[in-house]
Amino acid sequence: MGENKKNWPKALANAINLATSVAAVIALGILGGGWLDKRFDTGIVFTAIGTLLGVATAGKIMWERFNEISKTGKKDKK
Amino acid sequence: MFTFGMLDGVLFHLGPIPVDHIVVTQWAIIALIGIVAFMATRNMQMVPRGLQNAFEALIVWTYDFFTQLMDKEHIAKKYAPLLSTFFLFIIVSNYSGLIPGAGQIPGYQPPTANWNTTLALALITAFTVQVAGFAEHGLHYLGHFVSPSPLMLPLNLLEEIAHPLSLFLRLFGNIFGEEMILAFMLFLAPFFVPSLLMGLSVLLAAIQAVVFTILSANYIATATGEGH
Repeated sequence: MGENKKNWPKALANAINLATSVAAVIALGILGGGWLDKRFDTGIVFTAIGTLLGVATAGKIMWERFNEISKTGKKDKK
Repeated sequence: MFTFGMLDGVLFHLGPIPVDHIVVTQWAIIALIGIVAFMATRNMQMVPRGLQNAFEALIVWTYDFFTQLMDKEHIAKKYAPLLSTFFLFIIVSNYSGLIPGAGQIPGYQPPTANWNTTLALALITAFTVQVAGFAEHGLHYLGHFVSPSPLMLPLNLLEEIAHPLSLFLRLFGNIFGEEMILAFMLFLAPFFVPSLLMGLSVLLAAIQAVVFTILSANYIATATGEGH
């Protein structure tokens, strides 16, 4: 049986973590950028930067999780 | 005077600090958990019976669960008491809104429907994660902020800030939203619909407590993991 199937608490935690982290970093980037734009009256400069940062961070998180799952899968096959 | 996020119903003052229903409810929850724990452990036997037996079984299951989740047994044993306390406090807080008659108390809300409580819980988690990381890896822990390259610093920082923020907002949003919908439904259709919703709330309250605890454990496991 695969490690992930045996270790259901970890699999569940990783799934919840991935879903919430991706949503949270994008929201934080957009809202944080919007707040900075209002504070410094800079149009949508910081909103754009925040959105890009948020999406990039979400991509990084997904990439890390994907690598982690791939590694576990390879270990299981061996 | 601190009135940040306080309800209208201030009961009394402790020096400059106003104490409202939320704080008193939290004290009652802490007392309740304390009394049950005291009753379970006041007369410990080698062969456990009754409440002690139930608690021992629960603690063994909890340690196994966190060991599986966090990979390292010593980390699980170290942080299981904190994580279990989170779970107990959140689930009792969530359920306190469903106690018959609670809705009749003016200004009453479950503590987790107030953002001060959920923010405090999330900040405790955030602080614990950093302490756990430094305790396990020493100053090398700082390296994960610039891993795999120093260019990743803003992304790693954003991720680190997003963790407690998502814990805080999800728990608050879910419980507060549920309370608002219940109150609205009670106003519109006083018996049948709210009863169904309350049944759903029992499930939702437990799920939110589990999610908060599992995510906190996962963040600690990540900070203390091999990757750092």
